[in-house]
Formats: sequence, C-alpha cells, structure tokens
Amino acid sequence: MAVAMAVVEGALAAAEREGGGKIAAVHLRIGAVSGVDREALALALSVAAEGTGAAGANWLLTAVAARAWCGGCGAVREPVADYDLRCGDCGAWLEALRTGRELELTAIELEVRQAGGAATAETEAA
Amino acid sequence: MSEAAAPRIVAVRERILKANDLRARRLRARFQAAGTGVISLVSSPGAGKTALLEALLPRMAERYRMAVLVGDLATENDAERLRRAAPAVPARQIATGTVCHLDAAMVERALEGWALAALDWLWIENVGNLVCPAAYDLGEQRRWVLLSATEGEDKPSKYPAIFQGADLTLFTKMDLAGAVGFDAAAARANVQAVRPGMRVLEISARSGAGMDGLAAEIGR
Repeated sequence: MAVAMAVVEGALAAAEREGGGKIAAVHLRIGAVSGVDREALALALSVAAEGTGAAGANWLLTAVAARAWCGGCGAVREPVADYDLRCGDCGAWLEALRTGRELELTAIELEVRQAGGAATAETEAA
Repeated sequence: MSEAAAPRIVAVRERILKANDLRARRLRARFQAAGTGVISLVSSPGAGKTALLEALLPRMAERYRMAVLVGDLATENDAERLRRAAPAVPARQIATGTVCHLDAAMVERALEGWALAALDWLWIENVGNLVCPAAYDLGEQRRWVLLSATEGEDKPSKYPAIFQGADLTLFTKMDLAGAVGFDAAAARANVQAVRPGMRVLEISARSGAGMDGLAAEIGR
C-alpha cells in the first residue's frame, strides 16, 4: 500500500509538472524479484488513487524478468526461478542482479484538455 | 471545437521510492560524517528483536556510546523494555500508527535533538514485518534479519526480499531449536538460495549462546 501511495504521488507530481490534468494511464516497470506482487499492487493503486487526479487511471504494469551475472557461464543468465538464484543453464549461484529489482514509474498519459477545459471522453471510454 | 485528442504521453522514468532513497542517502551521509555506525534489525513480529537488544546492549554499554530507535504501530512498550535493560542507553519509540514499516523520514524526525557525533552506534529496530521494511532504505550501514527457531526453516523462501536486502542473518531462540524441531542446516540452505554468501549466526538471547560472537560482529 505504501508503494502504491508513492506511485500515485509520483504520477500526480509528474502531471503537475506538465501543467496538470487528469491522468488516464500510468506505466510502471515491476521487477520479478522486487518483492512487489503485481496483482496486489494493481488493486492497491486503484484504492490509493481514489479522490485524486489519478482516480480511474489504467495501471499498466510491465514485468521485468530477473537476470544476473553467472560466473560459471561468463554471461548474464536468468535464474532457475524468481527466488532461486541459481543459473538456469549451469546451476551455479548467480552474482549481482542486473535486472529484476525495478520499481519504476516510466510514463504517465494525460488527458488532453480542450479549449473549454473539459477532458476528452475518448480515453475514459477506453 | 476540435475533435477529441489522444492522451498525451509523458515520459517520467523515476524510481518509485526515490523520495525515500534520497532522504536515506542524506541520513547515511550524516551518520558517516558523525562517525556513527547504524545497524537496523528486521524480522517478523515476535522473532526477538527487542530481546536481542536487551541482551546485547548491556554487553556493549561499557565500550560504546549507543542509542536506540524502535518502531511499532503503537505503544511505548519496547522502548521501556530497552530502558530497563540498559538504563544508560537512550531509547526512543517511533509509533507509526497504521504504517507497517519505518521510513527514512520517520528516522530523521526521531533523531531530532540527539547529537549523532556523541554516538558510536545507533540501533534501529524496525516494525515487525517481513514484507514492507525490505523496500525502505533507512540510511543504515548494516541490516540484520532475524529468523527465530519457532518460525520454521522456510521463511527465507517465502519472504526472500527481506533476506536479499540484509547483511547478516541471525537464527534466534536457538535454545528452543530442539524442542520445536528447527533444522538449522535446512534454514541455512534456504538463506543461501535467496542470498548466496550471506553469513548466518545462531544465537539465544535467553541462554546467551552466540551473544559474545555477535558483540564481536560489531567491531567488524
């Protein structure tokens, strides 16, 4: 929930920098070993956004697979499983994670205001 | 009027916990400038964080100037326990209300009025929780994760993020290991699976087993 609140705050701050407006969608990258469950986060986001300019936004969560350096293979490999950090190819313990711990707000989509100041209906119908 | 326009996409690309990370970085710089070592403790509720400090602080109080911050949703109970165990060590409770973890801002506020330069070590006991504290940097230099014998061997497999973010694992309540059938070797293997190379110490705050080794750990 605290992560969701940080996402909403970040999205609102970004919208503010762009001159404000209702947020239609928020793009996030969530690593497979970030400790955040994507389904739980999606639910928490819709709750955290209630009553803000991000209420009703589409939450677009992209999963990022875990990949780490394998000393055995001398290459970046994927682990056996998300939380079993042995090399999927040779079974050696993997070293530093290159990807998989991401919790990133990558982009927001703002509804474009018309001359009258009303938000467009197109994205709300989407 | 113009036709309905497509939404405008704005690239943001920022880390979600950036504000906390920045604050934690500032705290870490302050601790370093003051020469204060900071160790935080994380575990599930009841794994023995407070008991560990009750046993450890009196062993260290003659050699080091220390202070403790202890986080809980409510009550002053843990801070009071620590004051009784080590009266010379100031202990402050951080009541988080509904928040299930400490963050860098709470630590920053709780430090107000303490002269860090007068402290060799600051202990931070996080809220008992194996999930949320993993995501929040508090500016500490070391993080110890506790796993009590009564919790079973598979906690590292179930809650890997908290183990991956820690520097040392402590198996606590080892005086009960036989009674509850705790398989320390299996638990060590589970720790290694999620955090290769992590060191593990086995202790009992009640019997004192392993406590001298842990006190020596401070000097590392």
